[in-house]
Amino acid sequence: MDERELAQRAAQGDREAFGGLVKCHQTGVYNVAYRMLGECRDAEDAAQETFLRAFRSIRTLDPQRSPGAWLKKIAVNVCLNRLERRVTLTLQNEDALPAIDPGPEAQTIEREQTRQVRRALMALPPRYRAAIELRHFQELSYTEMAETLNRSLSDIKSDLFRARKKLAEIMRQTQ
Amino acid sequence: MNHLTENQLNEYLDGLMEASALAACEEHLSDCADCQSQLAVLQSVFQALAALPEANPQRDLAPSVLKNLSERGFGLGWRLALAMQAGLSLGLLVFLSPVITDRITDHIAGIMAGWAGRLATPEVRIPNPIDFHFTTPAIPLFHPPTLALPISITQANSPIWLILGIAALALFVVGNFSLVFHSSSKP
Repeated sequence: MDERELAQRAAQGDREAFGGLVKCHQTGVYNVAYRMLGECRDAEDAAQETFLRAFRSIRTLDPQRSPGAWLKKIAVNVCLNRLERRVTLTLQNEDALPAIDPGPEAQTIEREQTRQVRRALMALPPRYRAAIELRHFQELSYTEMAETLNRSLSDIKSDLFRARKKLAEIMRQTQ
Repeated sequence: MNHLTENQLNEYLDGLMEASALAACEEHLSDCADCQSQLAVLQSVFQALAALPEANPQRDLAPSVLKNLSERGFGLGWRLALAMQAGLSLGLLVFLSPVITDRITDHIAGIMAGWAGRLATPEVRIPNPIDFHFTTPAIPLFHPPTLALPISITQANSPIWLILGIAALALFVVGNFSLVFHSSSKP
């Protein structure tokens, strides 16, 4: 059964089908959350919240659209809501960079450069993180980004440029 | 040409620039060291982000998601059952409203009539130490509105009792069945 069929069945109340959809997309959704939140446990909680929200509104999912892309957009908004509750972190120096909970992945294979990029992402304001996530990892157009984040096109373009610039600065400082 | 703007750099990097603008942009880039430098910095971000590996969740999320779905509510089943119950209650309320209204208005009318009778007296003397007293004007009797239905539902042998009773019972059974069925279908 493919993911669209699973989504259609889930929309009719089939929970096992929804479970199948979770299995298909949990890694993708978890990665969105991990890139935006930087902690394994938070990322798992956010991924779970994403799926719960998705189940409640799965009837609104257009059958022609990819459930995976739809879930990832929900995940970005779930993470933004969570980040709004956190204290905004600003980069002053190396010590100010937020610590990343590496998890088992990092304990074994994550390279230094990968850690630097993740830490740099965590030093960005939430809306910049969202812009990077939607453009670089989900490959949305500017218009789709604006719709997903409910913001104007000019705001999105500006955030994306500043996010990239800030990310470059942070990475340069931490190298 | 002036230096490339934020938008131009974005669109160039994202491959979203129109052909004519792209040619002008590339021409400028070939001559402008500042813009080349800025572009190189931003391209390094692209490379770093593209190299970021996928992480794996430490556990399968499906069981906990499904468990939470069951604990958080019944979704459609709940809504359906509640709508049924609400419909049943509303139907009964409407059905019985003339009887209830009659009873209530009878009581109110009785109370009002009693008060009106007392207050209509020319003077009410309130005993108090400072010998203060006042006079109230007579209040006209309250006439409650009455509901006029096309049939008299108060007739015990009226067929509408039977029809509405069966309908209400059906709503009640379907509503509760929906609740029970939904509860028993937890994963």
